[in-house]
Amino acid sequence: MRRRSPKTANPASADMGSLGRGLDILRSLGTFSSVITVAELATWPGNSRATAKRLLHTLATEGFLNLIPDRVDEGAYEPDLACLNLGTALLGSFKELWQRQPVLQDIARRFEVDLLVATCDGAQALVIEHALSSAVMQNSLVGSVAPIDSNAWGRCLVWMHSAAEQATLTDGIRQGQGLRAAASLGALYQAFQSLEENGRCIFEIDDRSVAIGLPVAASAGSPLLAIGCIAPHTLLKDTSRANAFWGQLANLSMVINRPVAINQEIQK
Amino acid sequence: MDSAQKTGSNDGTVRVLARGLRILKSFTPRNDWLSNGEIADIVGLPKPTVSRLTAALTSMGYLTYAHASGHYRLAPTVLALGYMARVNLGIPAIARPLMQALANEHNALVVLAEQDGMSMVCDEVCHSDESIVSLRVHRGSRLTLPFSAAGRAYLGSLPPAERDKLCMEIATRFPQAWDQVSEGIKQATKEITERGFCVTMESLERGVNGVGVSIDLPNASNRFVLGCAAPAFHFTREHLEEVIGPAMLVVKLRIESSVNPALQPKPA
Repeated sequence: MRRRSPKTANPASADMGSLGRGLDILRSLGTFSSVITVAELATWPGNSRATAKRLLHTLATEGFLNLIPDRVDEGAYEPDLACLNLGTALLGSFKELWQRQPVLQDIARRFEVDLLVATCDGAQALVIEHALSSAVMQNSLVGSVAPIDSNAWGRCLVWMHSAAEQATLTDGIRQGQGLRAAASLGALYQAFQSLEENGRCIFEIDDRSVAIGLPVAASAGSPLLAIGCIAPHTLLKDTSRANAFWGQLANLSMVINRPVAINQEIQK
Repeated sequence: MDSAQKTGSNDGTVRVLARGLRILKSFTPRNDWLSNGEIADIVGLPKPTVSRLTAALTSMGYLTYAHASGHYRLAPTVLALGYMARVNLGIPAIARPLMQALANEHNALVVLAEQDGMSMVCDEVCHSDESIVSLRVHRGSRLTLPFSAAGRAYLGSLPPAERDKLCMEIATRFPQAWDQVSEGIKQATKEITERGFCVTMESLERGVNGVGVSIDLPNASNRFVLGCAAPAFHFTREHLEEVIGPAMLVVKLRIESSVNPALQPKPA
């Protein structure tokens, strides 16, 4: 029996609008600001002070926000445990990825690179797992998002889409501002070519490091995943270390999305 | 009157937002695909109401719908709902490098946790870079409050009235283990008072020993604790008391003084 599609709910309806607005508050709590006040929220379009209070109170009642004890007078809130639990529920659903985290960490440490696994969130690349070396530090923390055309792993994700989906994504890029759009499309085609020929794409970041994108072998029921890596130039110039590194990365891209077999040895 | 006020309930919350949040919270790592019927059972709402809300959450990008099975799962976008702010700012961000150094130096697992009901939820988890043997704990993992080193440190550092209240709840939830747990909490309270940390020997899991310390931050929204654990053959009581406990106290003081510079040791 065919199942029906989910009923279409109009998020713009008054009722669902409140749901969207409440979730937008949580979205506004990002890397640089983790506090929101009643006064600040009341300046958002369509919000009165009373509405702002009710929305924040609801988020706090459900455990997503916490009223900061020494800022009660101004109604200042910060993210609470339910935000952590929700993220954990999502990341925990990538079970295979969690099991492979020690392998990621081992490669990151041995080759002094930053490694990450990213997936698509609309037209953005979202980091869902990472392993950082102490030598190279980049903004690749779990939960980080960047436009899908702006880095090696994002371009890799575009390449992994079907032709029709690629067309939609590149249309979105074309609609960007002139020079930036042209540069983005150029980098995207360069990535496609490199991925077709070598199974990976590499882009210079600066005179010390490069960004690498590598597709992850598909697994039933799993979203598209790509491996991203920030590596120092020195690694790729040392032939024997570079060969060992590419071998490890290729192996990782094949197994990272598959269940870990019992008694399977992790090759070091 | 705006939409949030119109859709409000008597307790000052916005009903549709509260219900949407409860639906999101019904997903867990073990419960990653849910049907409308299953969600309705978990959150205690009529199925038609749940259907409207899941449709809205899907159209906003927070849920993914599988047409073949008629089930929903969390979409990667939920990571944007405060998770980044929660894990990458504040105490977890300050504590992370100190915890990683401790984990590496002592070949152990180090967690930063806070209490949520009968659990200690791990805000941050650091595994040793070198150790092949590692305990299966991730960010967001829940350790049982009365049995874990982190939980005992939390209980041991509470004001007596709060501790007694929580102990009554523990006695109700764990009646069969209460005699043993009660002794453990008394011992932890004594150790915290006398030397600032408490030691647990195989209280959470056979073959795992640990140390817990509480982080004292006046005016903080939540009370954080640090826990450090390793296999029992690696962490003997003597090692925990003479090496790990004092090392944890150093980390505790460094976190506290990072938050409150007035606590930094003054030069002689």
